[in-house]
Amino acid sequence: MNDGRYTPEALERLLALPEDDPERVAAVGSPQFEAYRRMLADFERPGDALVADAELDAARAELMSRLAAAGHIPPRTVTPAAAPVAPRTVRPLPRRGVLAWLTSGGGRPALAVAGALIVVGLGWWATQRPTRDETSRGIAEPGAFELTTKKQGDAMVLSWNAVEGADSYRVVFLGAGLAEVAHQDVSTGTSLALRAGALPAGVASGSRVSIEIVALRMGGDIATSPARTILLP
Amino acid sequence: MAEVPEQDPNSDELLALRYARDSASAAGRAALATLVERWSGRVYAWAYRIVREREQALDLSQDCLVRMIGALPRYEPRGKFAAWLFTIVHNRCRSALGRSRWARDPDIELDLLPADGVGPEHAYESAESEQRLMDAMDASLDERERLALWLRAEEGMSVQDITRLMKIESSSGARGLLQTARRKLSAELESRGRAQGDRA
Repeated sequence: MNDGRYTPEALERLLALPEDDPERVAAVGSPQFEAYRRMLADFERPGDALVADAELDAARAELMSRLAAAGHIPPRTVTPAAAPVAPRTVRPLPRRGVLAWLTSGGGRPALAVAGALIVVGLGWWATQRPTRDETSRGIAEPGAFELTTKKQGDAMVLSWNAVEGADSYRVVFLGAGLAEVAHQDVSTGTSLALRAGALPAGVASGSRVSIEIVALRMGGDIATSPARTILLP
Repeated sequence: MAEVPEQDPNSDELLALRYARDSASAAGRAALATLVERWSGRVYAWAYRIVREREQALDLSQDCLVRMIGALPRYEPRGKFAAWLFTIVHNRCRSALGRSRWARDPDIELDLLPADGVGPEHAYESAESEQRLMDAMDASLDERERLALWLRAEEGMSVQDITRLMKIESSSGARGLLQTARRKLSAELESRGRAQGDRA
């Protein structure tokens, strides 16, 4: 404590001590400990009669916006990719109107100009487009990038939403303290079946691990799903 | 082999640890954003409770959250993340407010400040040592009176908030408790002052 105040580390540690710990027993008799304990309980309460829910929501949105604008947190920019569209049957268009003119002898100069413009445009795109580091690396909206798990026979199937802009995904296995212990890359699709005997080195069949999915673009991470704990097959 | 203890991987403590360990990765940034989103409403509610004005509470909340983000790289889980965060928030709010608000609290102006302007709050500030006042509080006040006075004088809580925090159900709420504490502490300090004068 300093000047009648606890430091963040001191209060966190003190409250985590067993109730019969001498240091905690000594603290319990002091008004400042009891004051912080009661105020903390009040702080943690989800509802607050003093501030209406709508005002809380508005304040939360305002604070997120301010902190993102100041660069303290990433903006919410990552959105799930649009659902795949079923391939459509391509029908040949009847040659009439502009199409007929373009493909006729009179339209050939126009086709040449258009081709030249495309070549110039591709050249500009190849040299001037933003690099990966310049690309906005946001975070997923809540629920936009979710990992789901389902047991199918002897496999545990992981599946997740496609993330716009992602070209591959990495399934990350997390150990204590959420440190990565193994990963497996998935270059196509948005699912992976885990089977005993075919698990990455570092994770054991029958163990409980946390898993998260990292969306990658050109090798860089652009979004991460919330982690889920599963029992490996 | 990886074996994760039965702990929610999206708990505050693990999210904070994840950001602390790798603030540059997408996972670290997402963990931070989740923490901010999860707690910003409660940080605002606490700041509002202290300053009672929306724009000021927003500015104060933003400052608290920036301090939290700045402190997170050094975060090590020792217990509950909420306790760690709350201490940052409350200490900051208390510093920002100073003691100026006490005089603006109508409950205090009307009922607690003595006519000569020398009450326990004033005595607290002007006491030669904190220990001397603590001794006087221990000698003259019971546990609830000490707590009420501490919440008022040291933490700057309103009488209404003290009533709620201490779950006081009487019609006068914490006001009666504070009045009693004030009277008893004043008498104790006066008595000690007289005794000291006699010795001198």
